[in-house]
Amino acid sequence: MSDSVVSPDLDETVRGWLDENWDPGLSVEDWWQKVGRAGWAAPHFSPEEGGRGMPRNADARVRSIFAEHGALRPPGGLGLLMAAPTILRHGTEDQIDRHVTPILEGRTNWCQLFSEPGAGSDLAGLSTRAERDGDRWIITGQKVWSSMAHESDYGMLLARTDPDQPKHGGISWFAFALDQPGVTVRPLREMTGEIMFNEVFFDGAICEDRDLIGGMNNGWAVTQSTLFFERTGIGAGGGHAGFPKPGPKGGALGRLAGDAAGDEPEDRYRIVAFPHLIELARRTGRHEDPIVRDKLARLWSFIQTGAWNARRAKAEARHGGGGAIGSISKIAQTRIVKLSVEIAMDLIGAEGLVAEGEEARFVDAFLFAPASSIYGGTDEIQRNICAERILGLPREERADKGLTFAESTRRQQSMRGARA
Amino acid sequence: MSAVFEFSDEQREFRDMVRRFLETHSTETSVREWMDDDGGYDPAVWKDMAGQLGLQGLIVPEAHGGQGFGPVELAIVLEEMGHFLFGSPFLASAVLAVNALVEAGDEKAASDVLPAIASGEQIATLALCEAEGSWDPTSVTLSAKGGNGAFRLSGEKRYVLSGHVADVVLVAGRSEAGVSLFLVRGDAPGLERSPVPALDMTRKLATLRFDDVEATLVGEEGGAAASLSRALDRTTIALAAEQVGATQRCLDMAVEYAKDRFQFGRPIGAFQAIKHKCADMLLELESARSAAYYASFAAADAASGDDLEEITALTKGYCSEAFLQVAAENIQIHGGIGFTWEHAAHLYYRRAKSTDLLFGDAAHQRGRLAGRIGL
Repeated sequence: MSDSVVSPDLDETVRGWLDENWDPGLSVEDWWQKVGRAGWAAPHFSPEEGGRGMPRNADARVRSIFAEHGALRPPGGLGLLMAAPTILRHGTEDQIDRHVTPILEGRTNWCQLFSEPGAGSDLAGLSTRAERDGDRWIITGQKVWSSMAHESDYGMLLARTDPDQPKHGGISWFAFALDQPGVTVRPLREMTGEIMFNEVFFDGAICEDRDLIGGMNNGWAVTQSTLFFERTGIGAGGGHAGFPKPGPKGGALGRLAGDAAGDEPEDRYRIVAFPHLIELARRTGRHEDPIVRDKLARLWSFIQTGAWNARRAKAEARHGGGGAIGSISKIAQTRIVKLSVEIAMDLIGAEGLVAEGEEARFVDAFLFAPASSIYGGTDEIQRNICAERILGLPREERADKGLTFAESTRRQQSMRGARA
Repeated sequence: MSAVFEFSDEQREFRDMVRRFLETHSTETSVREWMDDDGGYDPAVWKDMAGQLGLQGLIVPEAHGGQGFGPVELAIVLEEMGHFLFGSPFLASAVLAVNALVEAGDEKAASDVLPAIASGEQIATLALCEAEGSWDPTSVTLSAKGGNGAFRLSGEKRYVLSGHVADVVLVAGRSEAGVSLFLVRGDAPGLERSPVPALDMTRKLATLRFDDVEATLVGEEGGAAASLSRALDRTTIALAAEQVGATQRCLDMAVEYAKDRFQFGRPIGAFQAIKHKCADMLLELESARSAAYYASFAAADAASGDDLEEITALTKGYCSEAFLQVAAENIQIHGGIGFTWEHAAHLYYRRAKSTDLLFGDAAHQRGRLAGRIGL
């Protein structure tokens, strides 16, 4: 409202570019190639990285100007949010060419193959194995909570390459092609009724050695970058689902860009924006209710301080500080989501009993809200990160300290056995 | 507003200088000494502060003997004062009264009074609130009778910051023309000043009773409501910075204690229950800081087109609750020791609630904010 987060020149530049380049008659594939090459897919990347050297928050603004213009928005998704910046930081020239450029041009869609049923928040407890076989790796194991894996071409895969090292030490990070024998993707239906997460099974699947990113057994360090991009991206309002989906599996590349631009985003249920709530308060006649007003003002305070935090982080980063603010951004985002759906459900009242019709989006958002404090690292893990890394509080005593992964697994089994 | 959140090197050095002064002159021992004193401040330190740093004249225009700095420098000073819980009439005199005088736009009153405030020789304050406890200038009822600049005031003012030590009292009164601002000398006949026991013992308050007291009109008769609102907003933004400095100190105390205090064989800060509390305190602190800084930059940049009322309401509401939460959690983390008189935690807890109540509490601020975000 009072805060224009990016410079007004940006709007003009984007509009000028769209005036000259937007052509609804192009295929989605051709349009996205144009968009990617012009640096609009990731305007916050540097020009050498395929962006335009703009602030982090320029991305959201660029996307909304595309939408206002009626143009198909740049490709999005987890490849852009996490894989591309990770590979830019840890990959070789060859890896950057083969993976980052296709992401920026919407030619590949990515998912995260991190979580496992047996690991959860203890991410380094993962047991999916990658075993060397000449110049390739054989992958065996299972992943879970892999958002959009059923529509993805590649996965950011964490696998154990040395079980005889301490658990953080024997992990590697791979750019993994999903479309091959030995990979089974099984969608999981969530409490929202929708499908976003998947289980992914690997039974002798193959990854080329040239797709090992950041060096063997160095995956934990690479993962820290990915997780940083994830939590700061989510906190900054990134992590937008790409719509339509990038990549061949997404199925939109051959469509006309003009047709795709008019489609409704499928993930409508994930977002309750502040203006929706103001509109809803007025429509339900509750806008004079002091409790409603108080809650909405509180929510606006959370949203606005979040935006100011992001700007301040940027300014302080220029002076070599500002790390604290990035780490709180995901927790800050969680409370915005939770308060938003609480207000929405208050406002629609009894209509919340019904999951269809005009107000269904708010019911959907209510059902999705608990996910916000789980995905991207639970709130509990985020708070540990703040407490340990920013405030310097002592690390939690770890029961598997000093053990190799293999020893720690045996210990777990014997403890479970003793309990039974 | 490209310069938001960008402190210049001069501003950073200035902060260091203020901090060094307060480290020496606002120790916990001296804070406690002066909170037990009726005057509430150390006149020698007050004098040194004027002589060495000129802080009393920080936002006083140069033409009236001040340094002519703006809201950003003021926020820096108050953040540091909040951190050290500096007890003095600074908020009353150098912030509230100066803002009220400057916003009133009365050159004669300004040149009569501001130089002595800027030099620290005189202490000033603003008497606004009445028995209803409203900080809204339009609700003022204190009676002002007279004309041609000479008025006589009758009525009562409450919660007047440093009211019993002020040499100059700016008074919001209601004349036939409406809400007006008046200037009264602290020793004027008919003015009775009673210190009141304050929740925050480090910041003294007084009740002022006016019985036909002679007063001089400041600014335009009947035109004070708008200028007082602006002055209050500017003071409120500065107060938010003070809240941030004190919030930081509370978190520092809590974290330090959580590292040092052992229970069940390890520092309590190794337990998630404590860690998560501290992480939430950090979220509150940093968000409050962003708001307070943003507000001070916005107030400094009149051309930004920012809605200063909206930003002030948001900032004060947010910073008040953040400070209160962090001050309370600081006590909780300290356990029983945090609840003792000897520990400093309660001094910050008192400051937290008192700064929430000053100039309108968090709920009031959110009420103001709601009116400006489309409701």
